[in-house]
Amino acid sequence: MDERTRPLRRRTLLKAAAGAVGVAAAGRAFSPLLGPWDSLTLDEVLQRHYSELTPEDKERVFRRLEEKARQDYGVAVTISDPQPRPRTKFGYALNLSLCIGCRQCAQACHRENNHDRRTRNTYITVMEIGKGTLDLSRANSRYDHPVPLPDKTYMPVQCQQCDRPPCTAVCPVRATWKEPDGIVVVDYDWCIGCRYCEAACPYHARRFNWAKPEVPAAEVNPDQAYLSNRIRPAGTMEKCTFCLHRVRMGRLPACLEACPAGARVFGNLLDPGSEVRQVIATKRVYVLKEGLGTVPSFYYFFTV
Amino acid sequence: MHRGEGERVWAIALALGAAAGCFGGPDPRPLARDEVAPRAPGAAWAYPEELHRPYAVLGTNAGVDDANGKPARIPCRVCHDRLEPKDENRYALRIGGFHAGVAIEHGDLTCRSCHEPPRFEGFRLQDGRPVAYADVMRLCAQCHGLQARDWQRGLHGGMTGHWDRDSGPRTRNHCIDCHHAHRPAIPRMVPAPLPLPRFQDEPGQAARTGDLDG
Amino acid sequence: MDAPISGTGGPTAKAARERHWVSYPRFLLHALAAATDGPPLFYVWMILLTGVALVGANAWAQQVASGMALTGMSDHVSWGLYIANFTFAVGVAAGGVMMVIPAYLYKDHDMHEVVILGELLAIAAILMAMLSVMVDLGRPERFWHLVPGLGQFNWPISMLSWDVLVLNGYLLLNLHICGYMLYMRFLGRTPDPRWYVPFVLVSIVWAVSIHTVTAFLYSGLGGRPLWNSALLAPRFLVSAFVSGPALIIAVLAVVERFTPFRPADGPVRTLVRILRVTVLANLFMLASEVFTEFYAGGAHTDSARYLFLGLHGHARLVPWIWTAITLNAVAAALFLLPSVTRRRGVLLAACAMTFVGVWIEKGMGLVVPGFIPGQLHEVVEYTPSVTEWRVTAGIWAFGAMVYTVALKVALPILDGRAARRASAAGD
Repeated sequence: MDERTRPLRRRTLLKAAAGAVGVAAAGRAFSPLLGPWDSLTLDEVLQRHYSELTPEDKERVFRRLEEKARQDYGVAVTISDPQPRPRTKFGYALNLSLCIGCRQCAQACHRENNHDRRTRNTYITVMEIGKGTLDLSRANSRYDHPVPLPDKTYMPVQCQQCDRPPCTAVCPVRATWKEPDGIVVVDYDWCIGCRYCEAACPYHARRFNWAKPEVPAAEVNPDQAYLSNRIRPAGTMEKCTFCLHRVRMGRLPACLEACPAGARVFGNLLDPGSEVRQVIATKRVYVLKEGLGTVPSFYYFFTV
Repeated sequence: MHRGEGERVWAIALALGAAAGCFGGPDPRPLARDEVAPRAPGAAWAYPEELHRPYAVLGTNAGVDDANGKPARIPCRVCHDRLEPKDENRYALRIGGFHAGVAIEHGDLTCRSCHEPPRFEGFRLQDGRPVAYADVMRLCAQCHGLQARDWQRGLHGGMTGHWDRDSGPRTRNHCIDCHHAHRPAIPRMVPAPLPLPRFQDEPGQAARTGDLDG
Repeated sequence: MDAPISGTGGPTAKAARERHWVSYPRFLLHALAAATDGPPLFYVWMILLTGVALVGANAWAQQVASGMALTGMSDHVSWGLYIANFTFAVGVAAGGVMMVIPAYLYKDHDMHEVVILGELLAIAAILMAMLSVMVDLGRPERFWHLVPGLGQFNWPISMLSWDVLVLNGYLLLNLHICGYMLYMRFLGRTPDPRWYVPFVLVSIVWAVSIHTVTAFLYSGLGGRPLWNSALLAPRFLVSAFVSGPALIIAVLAVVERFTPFRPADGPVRTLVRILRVTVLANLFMLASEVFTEFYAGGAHTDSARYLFLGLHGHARLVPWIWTAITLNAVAAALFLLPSVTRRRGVLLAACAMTFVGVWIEKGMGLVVPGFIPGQLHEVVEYTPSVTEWRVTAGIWAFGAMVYTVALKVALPILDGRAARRASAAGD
């Protein structure tokens, strides 16, 4: 018995020592986690889904987010939570005869929605397409010459706010959903960042925060909403919300106001008198990738 | 035997899952539907729609800024109260003197297509009737009926403010806010900077940006 | 040894009343000892794996700290090496079923002896698959949002929620089967079929389901033409039945070379017979996809064109896919050699080739090109970053550790060595 236990004991000691070295090495390996996660409070980690937040929860969460914006970005912001208006479903229409491809809409989106400045991120991609086709595979989004060129059509693409959105269906945690007014939103505090929605969206409408967004204090848009343009946390998805924080207050989206060609039309699809309904009633419209059955709320049309 | 049964169960489970996927679960926030129109057709809005107007009176830019830092304007009547327009300029596309630099690139139009002395306060319609500067859109609409009708329906031309004029006012552009009357094509401009597909400070970013192709 | 509580009943009844609360901890202790004890080569191997795993852990921690910008992914190519490895690992896990079916449905006695190698492999591979998803999350601390009841589980709509269910289910099934079998053999008892045969039968169906669900994850996306193919799930399964058996043949060779355990020849011959069919079937399905894509043509072919030929001068994936096709084709030819089961070197080379070939085909050959060109036909290419390679290597090292430890525990028990030692100690 003794002969067997002694080397065993030495070996056990060695094993324990190796185990201790291993644990110490693992501690060192994981040490970078201590950096950013220091500032994560328990309240943040345990925050519930938007639909489960009581008015008191929202009050607490919004104030905390405002405080965080003050600390991280050195600017006083207000985070609101405008609700969908009754009997309102938003629609957008864009006149391809008028668009000149100047990307002012993309630029306005960049500023309005507090996008990361390094990447010049925006929710709008403007495609330059040769005459004689509307095939996106023959389009170019990376043009940088003065516009418009006479033989080109320009086509801005942003979230189409689909009635059958593939992106919300695939989300494993219901962090993105379609609101009653038709806007597809993301709860940035609930998204786990798996990017399945980005793979599912047929319009390249979604963006991921690959790092914490950088916005100088002077350029932060302080008029923010929880489901819309508040500065997004790193590691979560974001997308165009038709400027939810504006349109639910009755205002026009930032991209529309910025358009120097007046190519954009926005309004309530449920109101037969609205401009966007006038487009559908009087123009021949088409939607992007209609064959996919996503049923967009975004219509393209031509003057003639 | 066992495998056959197992596969059947599996198929049923999958079919059930697929069916559930098609019909979806209960939607906590159903989409608004158009059972009742949100507002009566033609009902008045609480807030007005203002027409943006760049200048109060017809004139020309002096080329210098005024005391407020805006381009100084010289109304037409300053000179044309006393000076008759030269008749040789009636069909000109370019004229010299005080109007040097005026170049008309607007279809077949010439100066007198719209300007008609002695009424330099406004313009002249094709049937000879005068039209005030404020109503310049009527002048444009003579040829551009399609655009004018689109504008009337709110389908053409920029605007700012509120889509819902029960919540606030809206300001709309008129024709010559965007289209210069002499050269109505919107001038070519440098587009806003391209967004980068990735982070600038990432090593290899330049290469990656260069990789982009449409 | 543990005495029965009462003297009533036959030997089976006595065994059933065994005091598991004493013997099970003993089993676990034995497992711990077996897992940490071995010849010097074992220690070298484990230290090496631990080192690589920790390098991966460190890379992941840095990625969490400074954001996913450390990866090579972009808004255009939003999944990369991690999800490629996830897909492949699920395939390996499902591939283990190619041992289970002969062993349990066709009563292949020799295969039955070593079937636990396949089941343990499934455990290690599932853990790798789960880790691969975990490291791909932008907010890993929010993983609890996925827990049914606790978070907001989007089941049954999201295919990812199905994946969470089937992967965890498959893990539990295999943990139960392996744990029960080993425990019983450790006790020197014949396992009670009621406690494992139904689970094994379920696990066969379940193995098919995990890779089907993983394929549906992709093929359900109407906006991604390369993935939106009904052939994807069959392709995934067939390639899983390539990579799984190929790995198991290699593992059997390693076991034979480095441990006293002597597996019979039958299982390898059976697995080679399976591979002869699946490697060819996999190539055939790839060929069917290629034909369908290129003969019809059109913009929907752009991803396939980018992958196989290059698009608009961008061809970063072309070498990958042709390497994969070459490896699989050569492996298929080698497997067809009648002498392949006798020539160990050739057999292992063929297994290695097709394993790598399938790995490329599913990752760089399927997940990545699905994103190129993007939804607006923009071509943004993808190269995995150093961080991604490190994390991936770490996950593979972790998987290899789990599998090594599992085999280290299981093989002596299967051999009867452990039982003999245990009974000696008990006496």
